[in-house]
Order: sequence, then structure tokens, then C-alpha cells
Amino acid sequence: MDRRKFLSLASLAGLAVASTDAFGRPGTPNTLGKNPTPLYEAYKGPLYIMVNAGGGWDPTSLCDPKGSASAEDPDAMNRSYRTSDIGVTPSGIRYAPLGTMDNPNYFRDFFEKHDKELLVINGVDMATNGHETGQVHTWSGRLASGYPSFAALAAAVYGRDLPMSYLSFGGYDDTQGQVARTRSGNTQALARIAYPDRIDPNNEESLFHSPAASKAILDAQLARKDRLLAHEQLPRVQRAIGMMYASRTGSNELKRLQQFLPEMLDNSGNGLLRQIQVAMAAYKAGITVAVNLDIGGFDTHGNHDQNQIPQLQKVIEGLDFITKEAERQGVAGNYVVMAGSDFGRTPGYNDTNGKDHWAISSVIAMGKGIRGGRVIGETTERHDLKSIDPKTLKVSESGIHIEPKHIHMNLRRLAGIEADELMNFYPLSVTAEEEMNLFS
Amino acid sequence: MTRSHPNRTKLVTSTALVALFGAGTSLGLAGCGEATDGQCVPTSEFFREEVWIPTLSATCIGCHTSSGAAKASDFILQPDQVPGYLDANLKTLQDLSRYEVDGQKLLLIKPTQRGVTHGGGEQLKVDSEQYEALKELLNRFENPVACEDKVNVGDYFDGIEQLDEVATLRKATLALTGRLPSTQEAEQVRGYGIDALDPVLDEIMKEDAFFERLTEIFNDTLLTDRYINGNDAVALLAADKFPSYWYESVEDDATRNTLQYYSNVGIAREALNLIVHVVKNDLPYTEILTADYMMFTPYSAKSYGVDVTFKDPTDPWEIAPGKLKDVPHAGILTSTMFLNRFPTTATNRNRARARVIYKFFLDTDILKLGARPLDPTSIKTVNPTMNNANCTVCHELIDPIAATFQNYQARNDYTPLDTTEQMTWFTDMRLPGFGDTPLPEGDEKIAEQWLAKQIVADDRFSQSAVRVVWKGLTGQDLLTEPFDAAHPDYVHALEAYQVQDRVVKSISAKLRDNNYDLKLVFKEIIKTDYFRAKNVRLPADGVLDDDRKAELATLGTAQYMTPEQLDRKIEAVTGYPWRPNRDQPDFLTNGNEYRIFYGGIDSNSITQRISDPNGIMANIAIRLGNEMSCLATARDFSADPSDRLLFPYVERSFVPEDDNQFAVPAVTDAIRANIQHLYDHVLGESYDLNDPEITAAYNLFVNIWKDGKNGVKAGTYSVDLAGACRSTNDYWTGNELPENRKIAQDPDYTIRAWMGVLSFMLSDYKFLHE
Repeated sequence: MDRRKFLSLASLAGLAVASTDAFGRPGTPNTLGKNPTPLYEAYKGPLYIMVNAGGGWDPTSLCDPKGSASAEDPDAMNRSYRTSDIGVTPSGIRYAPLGTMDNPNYFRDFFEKHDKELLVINGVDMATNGHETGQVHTWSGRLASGYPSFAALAAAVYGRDLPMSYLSFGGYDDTQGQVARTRSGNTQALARIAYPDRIDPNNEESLFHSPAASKAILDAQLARKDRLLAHEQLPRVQRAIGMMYASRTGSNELKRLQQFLPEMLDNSGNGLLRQIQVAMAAYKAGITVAVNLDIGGFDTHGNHDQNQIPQLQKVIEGLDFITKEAERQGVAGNYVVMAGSDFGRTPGYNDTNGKDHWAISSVIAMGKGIRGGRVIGETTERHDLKSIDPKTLKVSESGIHIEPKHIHMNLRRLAGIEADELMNFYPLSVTAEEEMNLFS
Repeated sequence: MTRSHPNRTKLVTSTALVALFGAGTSLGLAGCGEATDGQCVPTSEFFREEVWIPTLSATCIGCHTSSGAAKASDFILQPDQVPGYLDANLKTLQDLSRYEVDGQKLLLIKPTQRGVTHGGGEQLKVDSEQYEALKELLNRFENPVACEDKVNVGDYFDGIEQLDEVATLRKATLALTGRLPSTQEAEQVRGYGIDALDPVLDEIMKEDAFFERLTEIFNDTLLTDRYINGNDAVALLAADKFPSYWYESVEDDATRNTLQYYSNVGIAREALNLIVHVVKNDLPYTEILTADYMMFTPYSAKSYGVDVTFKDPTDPWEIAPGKLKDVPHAGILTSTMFLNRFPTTATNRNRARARVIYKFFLDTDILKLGARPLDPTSIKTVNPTMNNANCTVCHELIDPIAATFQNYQARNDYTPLDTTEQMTWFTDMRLPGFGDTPLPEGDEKIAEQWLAKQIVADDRFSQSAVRVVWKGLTGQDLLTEPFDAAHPDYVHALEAYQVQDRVVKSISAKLRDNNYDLKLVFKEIIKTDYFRAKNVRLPADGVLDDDRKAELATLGTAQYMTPEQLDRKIEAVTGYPWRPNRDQPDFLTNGNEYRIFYGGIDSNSITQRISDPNGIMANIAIRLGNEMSCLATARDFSADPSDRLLFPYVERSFVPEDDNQFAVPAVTDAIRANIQHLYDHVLGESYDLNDPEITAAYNLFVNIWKDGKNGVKAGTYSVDLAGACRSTNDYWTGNELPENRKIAQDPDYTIRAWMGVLSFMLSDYKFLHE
């Protein structure tokens, strides 16, 4: 049988998502122990962190800075700073000289601190001004819907059997059924969820069923699964059965998440920080491969400067916090981060001091395998696209625009999933001539 | 991106149709109402396969678009990126078919350049197949074929096993109300054919639980429950117009908080309550947009300062229609909650609202148009939304509706445009209207009411209703038309789409033909093969071939129940809710407990449900099985057998073996009979007493019992039940039970053995899915 066909059918039938032993190793009861043995080897590859700035961020107020000539400049790209004040890191990354009330140099401090880690890709051709389509494009690498996000693909390849392989706090997190997606809720309830066999989750002696009864129930469930799969022939039903039993494979691993969550989650008002704490704990527990972090508030059609800049500050605070939290959890540097948005914002201001949608954006990346201290791509002073030579990555009139598909090709390659059979279903139409080596 | 029409055309007209209907039963699109095999082909299908694909999409659309070389002509085609493009283009052709020159159809003589000039030159040969097909289409407009009302599904459903009437009723009753059908209801349909469900469903759809479910289903679209907490909804009312916080003067804190809660929920649910009102009173569904009133509760009416008559002015859940002074209501379109949930800004100028209106009420996802590549460097035109083709593709659709919303701008309440400083609508935008129809002069103050009438008169309105109910009943979105001919499953996906599209369109038509009775949509969907498909018969060789598997990839609901649905099912099956204790909210509906973890929404930042279980959801399901079997087992045994839901055929003294380890046949029969009952009651499965499935659960019971009996004898297990699993008081009242009904101990270990069986079933695939 054609391999692509086989994979398709296997996926439809649940085989691609169901473990052959849906409850773990034979004879391993789904009960509790003081030190639960993981049913599957903990994931140890890099954590793929996608930071979604929902609503359309303004790269010209961040990493593709365009300022104003003077306070009276009628064509100011940004009234919040002068072009002459644009900062440059030792590596040559240009940034908007913005900050907070507490720290007017917040952006400078961030870019200089992480100068050697940061890769900025400017002049990304989003080809859309629609929010939903922009998110699809940024995070799946294809303008049309129907592809999983990159994070979902990485999670599907490396962690189908993990209980929280793909953790999403929002943004484009379509999986196309390739991997289960988890959303975070009240982390306090996780204790009860992690220990479903205990009446009192904090008391290991407090069991609903005796260990022998639990074992008997588990065996009966496994046998029932086999009978169901033998009887139910509709592919969708088979897939649903496979998904349900596969989702139970990692129930013990959830307990490990409890071990690594901070006693108190961040409550500073920047929701990204709490998301990062949960994601890093799940990663440390070996149960998460990829995560969508999400922050909104970027659709600044009115009062752009007052509304956009604080949100951008939260994004870079989040990027900084990723490095700190990874260090705290003992996994420093073992991540791949990409921050992006639906699209950019129009050059200059509208009648309500806002900025509307603009189909040109930027991406910030850092982490394992990404050579930092660089800027790829360029835009004009009015934030129009410039073409680049795909080989030299230098501006070239005969070149091409950087599109999300080029970035995703690099992401897939970096993650080592480029050649995985799953990608046959989600090909990126990048020809050999337009391939770019963006990360290394 | 692959969007290859030539490939697609080739596939659809050859491979796809052969695959779709089999070589022997192909549509065989002959130039008449009947195909060569005698199968009637509705005009919509004929148009798609014989006119749209080979001619219009291949040739005409090169110029005949709103931005093409023939944009000034009356013949403007919608590209396939536009949802509903086929229906729209068919209608365009039908309208233009009335034009004649010297008795000849203009649509035939223009592209063939016979007697009239065609700007694009000769595009059709008179003797070509394409010409004949076009001619046949025009003939069909004047002489409709007999099968327009038939749904042509070919042999797509061959071999599909369907739920019988009783099983369909169980699934439907759970889906509509979260309860199980009564014995009487089951007997009303048993053996009488699927249409026998109609009167039973009619009665079920009068229950309060149905309207609760209806509210959930529509909130998944409108998302106005975002404002249901605290005073989130009250705070949205214009403080200078309404006595929003009327309850603030109440001194007693508890009373004031209660009044705030009642007021806030009444306001937040205003749009959803209109839908409930329309359906409950059998009003046309069109009234959700055309209603010249809004819905109040006794408490929300106080916040609005409106005098409305209620049967019981203290009942916080009673709803009644009323009007705001000097506001021309247009149902949901002018609902304060809807307008706040989908706000606009000074520069957005209602465009976002127009997009939402298209999506919710016209079954059209404007954002799909954004899927077409847009070259940002080409947008140099002055006022591009009016003049640049990259922009006009969307804006010519949304801007007229946006402009028609002129009396509701960023303030979200009715403010006639001519009373504002602005006075008139923006001159750099399209004028108010709907499609090509302009808002009549003089109707500006009631522009939204005019818009509502235009929307409900559009066939897409009825299809949007089917879309919402379909998702609510099956958990699945309707299929979208595939375009990527390079995708390995393209042909099968196209087939699945086409068949489903025909079914959906037929239900939409029935809705229109039956005075927009939304309950009919529920009934029709429940009776479809989609809702009832439970399995597929294997061919003689015992293996479903790959093509057939791919064809059926989307069939069968297999819906992982939403937290709200599962919550109701738990109580319906066990008799008890799943909650921390009697006075607290249920785990699965509480946003601070499991609702979000279990894939639910908060109508705010989390607006899409998770339909595939993950590790956390799996553990929640396991915990629910354990907790509910603990709570319900002993309590069920406390009741008189005739009142028991779970264990009517056994007593806790029924042990399968005597002291000499000999089986006790009468007891084992009773245990098997009760297991048979549990399969039916909990999982909706019917088995003979000697079926292996019954034996599997029986063995589970015996294994746990034997281990427990030995453990109790050896002293390793206590005779006492865990505190949470005892039955010593009435769950609902808290009153202590009579001594003879109390169960705190389990010396025979039968309670715990039955708990094990119940855990097994409550965590089963069939319990968690519908």
C-alpha cells in the first residue's frame, strides 16, 4: 500500500494516535505509588514554545523600529520615539527605544541582555489582513486552514503518548487530530486529577478500590477496548476509541507535573509568566513537548501607543522569563522559542491615534539550534517589503519575500521532523530555489 | 499552496464521480432531469458538475468578477473562495437567463458571438459539450426537474448500520435534555419506523432541560455567556440611560448580591433568551433577527427601567418580551449583549460586526476570503477598500452591512446617526445595503430592522441555523469543500462534502418550507444517517478496503461529550450529580473546577471546545467513574428495588458462590440480569444474558468479590465502607436514613464489587461518547 495512504488511514483509524498498549506496560496497574514509574520515557528534547501576540502586533514598535523625525512629523511611523533614538545592540539588532514608567529602558535592557540569543526576522509577508487567517499562516506556515500548528506537529512526532504533549493557552492550536491538546485551567484542581484513584488526593492510603480491584477494572477496560475495536468499524469511531484509550496512557505522568509546579504561580498581571511556569513544570516532568503561549491586546485600532507598547513589553518580559524559568527548573537553554503575531500594523496613525491591519510582520526566535545576534530581512522606512536572496539572505531586488512557510521549513528542520512521514500530509510548498537557511 | 482548478476539474468530473457513485451508478449527467441510469440529478448538482467546473470556473471567471475585465457587466461570478459561491452563481445565471435578444437567450448567444458582441470574444462553440450543458441548464430554469426535493446521496450510506428507533431516541433524548427516555417513550417508537420519533421528540422539546441545552448550543456561537458572572452584563448598560444598578440601594448584603446575580444573568442571557422564546413558542426562527422586541426577566427589566408584565415577578428565570423606549429592535442584531460581545471601533466602522453577521446568520465565513494571497506591496491605491481588488473582495460584501449598522457604533446602543455630530455615513465607504440592494432612502433610522429582513429572506440564513444545530447535536462542524486536489484524500473528502452538503441543504429547505420551525431541524438531523450511523457492515472478505475507509472517514458522530452534557448524563444515569457536596456547583460545569480542563469554554478567551480527549480529560473521566460509583452504589441499594436506577435485580446479600464455593444459580442469574440492565442503562447497549460482554462484566464482579471476600476474612480489608461511599442519609435533604436502609458496612464485599463494575462502565467509551 502507498505509504502516505497507509498513514492517512492509520490516522483515521486511530492507529496513529493510539498506543499499542493503551494503558502502559502490561501488568502495570493504573494505581498509585509513592514514586510512580513513568509508563513512557520522559521527553527530553527541547521544549517548543510558540508565543502568540494575538491581534496583530506592531514590529515597528519592537524589532523593526521606525520612529518619527520630530514631534511635529506628520508622517511619523511612531510618535513614541524619534528615529534618531533607535537602539542597536552590539550584534546589530535594532530595537525601539521604549520602556515602562518604572524602567524607560526596558526594551534596551531586554535586547542587550539577550543580544546573542535573539534572531529577528523582519519583513515577513503575511499575505493577509484577516486575524484568523494571519494566525493560521503564522503558526502553521500555510495561508489556508487545514494544517496543524508547528507545535502540534512537533508534539505529534515526539510525544503522542504523553499526557500533556501539546499544552495550549490559546492562539492557533489546531491539531488536525494528530495529537491531543491540553488546555490549562485551575492548577489547584490538578491534584485531584493527577490522583483519580484516591478519595483524598493527599492520602495515598485513601483509595476508592483495593489495588486488586483496580487491577481487575483496568484489565476489564483493556479487554473492552479490544472488543470495541474489533466490533466498531467506522473509521471515525475507531479513531475516537483509539484517542480515548491513548489519552489514558500517561495518567501516572500527571503526578510528576505536581512535583515541579511552583507552590505559588505568578500573579503579576502578565499572564504569560504563569503560562510559562506551568509549561516549564510540565516539560520538566517530561510530559510536554510543545506549548502555545498566548497574550492578546494587540489589535490597537485606537490609541495605539498607550495600548500596544505595554503589551509588547509583556511579550519581551515573557521571553526573558522563559530563560529564567528554564534555568530555575534546571533546563536552561533547552527550548526553541518563536514569537509572532497575526500580522503587523499600518504605517502611521489613523484618526483615532490607532493603527490598522498591515500584512507585513516580524518574528523573533531564540533557543537551541538558533544562531542569535542576527537580523534577517528588511523593510522600507514605510514598512513595505524588501525581497531577499534566499541563499545569501541579503536584500536583493531579484530575490523573494520571506513567508511563514520559509520559517516553518526551518522550524521543521530544526526540530528534526522535516522528514517524518506525517509531514507528507502537510507539505510546505518551498522549492529548492527558495529554501532559506534561517536559523544556523 | 495548491489550489489547482484544472486538476480539480479533472478529478471531479472523472475520478471523483466514479468513486462517488461507483462506475455503475454514476450520476451520468445527461442533458435532462434523468441521468442515463435513471437517477435524477438536481439542478444544483448539474450546475456544479456540468456548467460551473468545465465552463464558468475554467473560462468565464477570468473576466467576470467584481474586479475583472468584465466587472462593469451584469454577469459577475463569485470565486470559489467565497462561501456559498455555487448557490450565488447559480442564482446569477438564473436571473440573467431571463434576458433575450430576438427570442434568443443572451447567455447562449453572447459567449458564442452570435448576433451580439462579446468583449471577451468567442468563448464557446455552439456544438461543444459545454454549450449544450449551458443550454440544458437554462432549460431547467424554465422546466424544473422532478427531483429537486430529493437528496441524492448515491450509495454513500450503503452498508452503514444505523441505530434503531429506540437507540436513536436514547441518543436524541440525551442530546436534547441530558436524560434517558422513559419506558413509555421507548415503546412509542419501538418498531414503528424512524418517523415515529417525531411526536416523542416534540414533547421532549417542551422540557426546560431542552431549552437549557438550546441555550448552550447557541452560546457556543454567540458567546454572550462571557458576561454571566458578577456584574459583567450590568456594567455594559449605558449608565446615563438605564437604572442598571437598581439593587445597590438594598442594604442587606446577601439580598443585594442575589438581586445583582438575577439582574446580571437576565441581561447577559438577553440574546439567548430570545432564541429560547422563539423556539418555545413555536415562532418562526426568523424572529431571532426580526423581533421588534427584546427579552427581559423581572430583574433585568428593572435594570433597564422597562415595564414588562410577568406571570411571577419574583421568578428570576421567567422571560417575557418588552421594548426599550424609542428603539427599533431587530432581534439579536440590536441586542446590547451581542453588540458588546462583538464590538466595533471608530476605524473598524462595524466591519467586524458585519463579518460576524455573515458567519452566524448567513453561513458565510468572510475570513475564508482572507485565505487568498494578498500582496501588501500592491496596495497603493487611494482608499483601497473601495478601489483595490485585494481589498474589495471582502469589503464589497461586509461594508454595506457595516454601514447599515449605522445607528450602533462604538457606543453599542441605539443612537440614530442623524442625531450625532457625524450626521451621515462615511463617504469613503460603501453605502448601506445588503448585497446589491441599497437601504431605501428614509429607512435610515430603522436600518437594522431592514437589514434583518434582508438576511432572513436569504437562503443562507436557514442554512446557518442547520449549521448551528448540527454542531450542537453531533459535536462536528459541517464539512467544508476541499480545494487542494493534491491532497491524498481529496477525492474522498470531496465526496463526503458533497453528500453532506446535499443533506444539509435539504434540511435547510424544509426549514424554510415549514415556517422556520427550528424544532424541525433538530428532528431532521436526528433522523439522518449521520446522527444514526453506528457501524459499517464488513464485506465478505471481512476487511473494509482503504478507499471505503477513506470515504467514510467523517461518518459516525463519536462525540466526546462536552462537560455540560456529561454532567447531565451522570445525574440521569446514577441519580446523583457529580459535585464536591450537595450545596456546591457540579465539577464539570464549574469554571474553577473541571469545565476548562475537560475541554469546555469560558465564552471569553476560551471559545473553542476540545473534542479529542487528552491526559487530563482521561483522568477526570477515571475520577468521575470512581467517585460516582462510590457515591451511588450503596445509596442505590438503600432504596426499594422498584426505585433503584442501577441495581434493581440484586441485593447486597447476593453472592455468586456459597461457603463451599459452589455457584448459586439463582443468584448468578440475578447478577447477570443486573449486569444486562447496567449495559442498557449506563451504556445504551443491549446484550443477551449469555453474551461475552455480560460475561466479561460478570467476571469482573466475581474477581473483585472473591478477592474482597478473602481479604475481609483475612482481616486485610475492612468491613466498613469508606465514608464517602456509605449510604447513611438522604443525599438531597441530608436527613438521616432509617436504620434498615443505612449501609455503612459491606461484610460480603458485594457493594464494593458492584462499585468496581460501575466504575468500569462509567469510564467506558460508550458512556463518555454519544
